Amino acid sequence: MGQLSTYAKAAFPGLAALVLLWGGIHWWTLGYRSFTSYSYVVESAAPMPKAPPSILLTDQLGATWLLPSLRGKYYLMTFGYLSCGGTCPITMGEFYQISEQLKAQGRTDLALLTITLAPKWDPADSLHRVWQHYGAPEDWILATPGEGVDREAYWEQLRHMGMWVDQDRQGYPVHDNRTFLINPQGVLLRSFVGTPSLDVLDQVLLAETP
Amino acid sequence: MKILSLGLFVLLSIPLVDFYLDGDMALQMLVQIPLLILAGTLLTGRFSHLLDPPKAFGLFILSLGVVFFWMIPRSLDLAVVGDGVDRLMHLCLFLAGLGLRTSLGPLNLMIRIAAGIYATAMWSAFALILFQSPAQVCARFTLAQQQSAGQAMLWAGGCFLTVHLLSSVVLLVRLGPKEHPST
Repeated sequence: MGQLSTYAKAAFPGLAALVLLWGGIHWWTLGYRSFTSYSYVVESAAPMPKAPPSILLTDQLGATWLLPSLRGKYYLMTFGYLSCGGTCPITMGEFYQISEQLKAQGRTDLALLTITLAPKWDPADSLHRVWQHYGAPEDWILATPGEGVDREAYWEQLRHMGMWVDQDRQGYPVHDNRTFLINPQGVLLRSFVGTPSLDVLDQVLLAETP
Repeated sequence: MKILSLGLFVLLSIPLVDFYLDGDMALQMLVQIPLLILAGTLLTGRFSHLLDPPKAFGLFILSLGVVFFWMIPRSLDLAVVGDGVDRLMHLCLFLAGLGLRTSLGPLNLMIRIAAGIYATAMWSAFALILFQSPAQVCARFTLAQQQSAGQAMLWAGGCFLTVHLLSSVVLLVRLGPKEHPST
């Protein structure tokens, strides 16, 4: 018994340090599920399906509407900004390809939505020019929350939705390349890392069909 | 040594130096973090005699845990963007270095060898993740920076392991496994 007590006393500091460390890292990573900034935002956001954030948007044609009011078809939504040199141009290219595929198939059940993360730099008329550059596809909406919006408050809404966005040391937006699917009832259904192909989207839509 | 330690810590905390080292992942991982730990280890003092081996082992685990915490990508991201968090990281790593120096003293040679191997394994595992991941792990650095940092860290880990194993073999042959290196 005395020897056991000696062993226990010898093991206590090491075990206590391990428990403290385990608990600290467990808390910091939300149960060892989020080691990166991206996964932390996703894990700490409310699970889907859920309502999209209430953001007032102006599209490339000048119409103003609330994001949760999008109804009647599926929308694949992404975020970026026009002067972005990271993943945004790639995502725009992928959205353009999907738009062309939808047009070729005569589909009207799915549309695309790109929302700017830099409202001050990307006014509606700039979005209109880019939209025209891509051939003015009817099934692709480009929208902005408007120049007067509080950027940090707007980004905080996106973080609550499950998207990581912040600014770099020069003040430029940095963000993940997550895309979100909104169903015809206006509910955020799920998100994807990157842009899903039309085949993947069709599988998701098929699974959704009652 | 105290002046060298504190001088190194102050040098790494100068905003311009800090900004430069924070700007590239390889510089941060291979220069800033190791130098902050080194600054802590250089702060010599009469601390080791205060600890018996069990307490020293507890302090060793905590110190290594602090280093591990600041290698979590989310922690690194926060340190790069936030000045307060960055200062906290500097202080934590400096104290972790001091903790490692203090705790390794009372531990016997076999535990010190195992600790070195474990720390290298942890470092190399993180390096592999950075090097092999097709996606950005740290949001504050580009994918190219991340991969080159991972590759450099792998080389550094390999070099450290080689030196550590060679010096361990020499010490084991000279002193035997139960001996303390200072004896």
